[in-house]
Amino acid sequence: MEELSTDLIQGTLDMLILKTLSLEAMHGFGISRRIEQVSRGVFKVNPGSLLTAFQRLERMGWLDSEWRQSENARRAKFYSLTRSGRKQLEIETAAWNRRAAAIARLLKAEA
Amino acid sequence: MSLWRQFTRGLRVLAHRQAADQDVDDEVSHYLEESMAAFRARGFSPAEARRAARMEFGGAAVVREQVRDSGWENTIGILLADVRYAARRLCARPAFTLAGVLTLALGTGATTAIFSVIDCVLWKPLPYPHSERLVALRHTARGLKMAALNLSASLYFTYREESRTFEEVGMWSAGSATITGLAEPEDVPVLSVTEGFLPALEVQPAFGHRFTSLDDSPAGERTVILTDAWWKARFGGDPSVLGRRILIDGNASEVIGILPASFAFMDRRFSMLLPQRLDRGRVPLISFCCEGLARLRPGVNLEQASADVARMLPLATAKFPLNPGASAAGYRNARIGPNLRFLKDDLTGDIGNTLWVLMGTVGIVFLIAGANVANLLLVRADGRRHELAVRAALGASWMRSARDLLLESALLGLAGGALALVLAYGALRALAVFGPEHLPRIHEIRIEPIAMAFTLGVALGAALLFGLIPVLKYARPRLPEGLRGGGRSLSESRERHHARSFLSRCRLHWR
Repeated sequence: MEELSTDLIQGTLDMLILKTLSLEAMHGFGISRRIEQVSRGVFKVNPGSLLTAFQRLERMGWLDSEWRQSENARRAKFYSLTRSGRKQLEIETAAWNRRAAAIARLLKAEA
Repeated sequence: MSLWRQFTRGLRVLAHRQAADQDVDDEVSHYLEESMAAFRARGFSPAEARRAARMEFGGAAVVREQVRDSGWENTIGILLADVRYAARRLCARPAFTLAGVLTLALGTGATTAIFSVIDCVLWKPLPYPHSERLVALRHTARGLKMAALNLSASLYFTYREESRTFEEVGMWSAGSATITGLAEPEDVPVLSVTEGFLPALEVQPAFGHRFTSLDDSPAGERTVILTDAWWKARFGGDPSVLGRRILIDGNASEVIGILPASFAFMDRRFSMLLPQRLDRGRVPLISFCCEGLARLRPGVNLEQASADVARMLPLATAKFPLNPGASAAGYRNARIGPNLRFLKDDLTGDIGNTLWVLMGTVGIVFLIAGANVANLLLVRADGRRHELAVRAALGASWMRSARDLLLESALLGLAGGALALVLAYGALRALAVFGPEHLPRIHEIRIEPIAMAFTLGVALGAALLFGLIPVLKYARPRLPEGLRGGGRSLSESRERHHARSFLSRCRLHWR
């Protein structure tokens, strides 16, 4: 199963984080687990990249963070989406869909 | 918005480095704990869970560094550390540092002092509104071989009445008067002026009003406008002095105004302005007595004004009676012509040439100082040759070494520039006290912000420029050959010798 896991395509990590947080506020490990589960283990998130991405996204004004009690009574840093983060998610989703569709067309034409 | 956020976040991290680091640490350890708990839930033993979590996470220290390095403030942090390191290196070599800073400070300080003199004497506008429109009304009398004839009362009235290019014309002369009736009788320097004098300068008294036409005519009562300094010295700055009469040369004169404290005129020392009270009807044609100044109408240039004066000069002969005993032919043969100059040029005269020669001299001194500093830096870098080579061999990029050397030079330059400002300030104070009497505007000379920027720019620029020489020699991209010979080589390599002897030769030639 580990063999199947793929490194995240450069630049998609931000979008996946935003998407995951669009449902509810989560902490770092939760986000990482959620991405792995939803992608059925295709994507494994590198913790270093993930935590760095949080810093970056927070500074862009797309994420807010706050320390609070996690479900198993540990203090954790929870991230949530800001209004401009939500907008950014829409922009990135649209761009991704456009690109994916284009690639799909190209592959079909090749075949 | 997000740029602002980037900036403020970065600043906050810089200011609270420890708290920010702690935050990252906490997040990393929480991540590990959660990960471990997840493995436990899948049936791993505590030890196995810990191992698995660690494996998955990778090096915690590496992740921490990765997260911390992500912001812009990190670059600043490294730079600050480098600056601190460079400062420590300089402090560890006090003799070198002192010599470098002093040499730079002397060279730059002298340049700054002369630059400030040039700036304040030649460049700074006169302290009146739109002073670029002020001209001195001088004349030539080629028939009498006089290059700088002043203004006559007859011409003053002619210009006031006939001019098409002057907005306002004023006349003045310096003299002295005796003040009695206050305390001790006092002899004070005065300026006798006509009613157009202050309007031409566009100066209003701080209290009271300017001279009116009546004040300036023999029909009116005698009036006086005091300077701020004399008013404060004699009357303690009491405004009730307005309307009082003081005895000037035995004549009771009413104080009608106090000049602003900032008012200065052509480097003259005077305690009061007196109206000239000329009788228009009794002025003879030949009555050269005074200096004239005029304010040009907007858009009028010096040539147009000169042409206007040339047009008006013959008009005076018709308007004013010839002096008894003088001949009309004699006046005509004097061939009086216009010789207008801007008021500032009239004040500064040809001091500009002297100042620029001085600037050139000081510039050479500055270059000598620069060559000395370059030599010092080269010797210094020579001493670090081995260290630099080792660093390069260990993988330090040449950029990093270059930045190191240049930072040292920059610190030297900044310190030199700061000291130069102090030196220049002292030199200018000394100049104001002991300075030559004929240097115009000497009391206006100070270090303006532009001169400060000039100083720091020059000192920093010189330090960086001369700091480039060792950089090019020791920190340019190439193989670390310094390792071969190193700091303990038997004799200086030819290359090392070249740059230094070139610089000392430069210095010899400058002398």
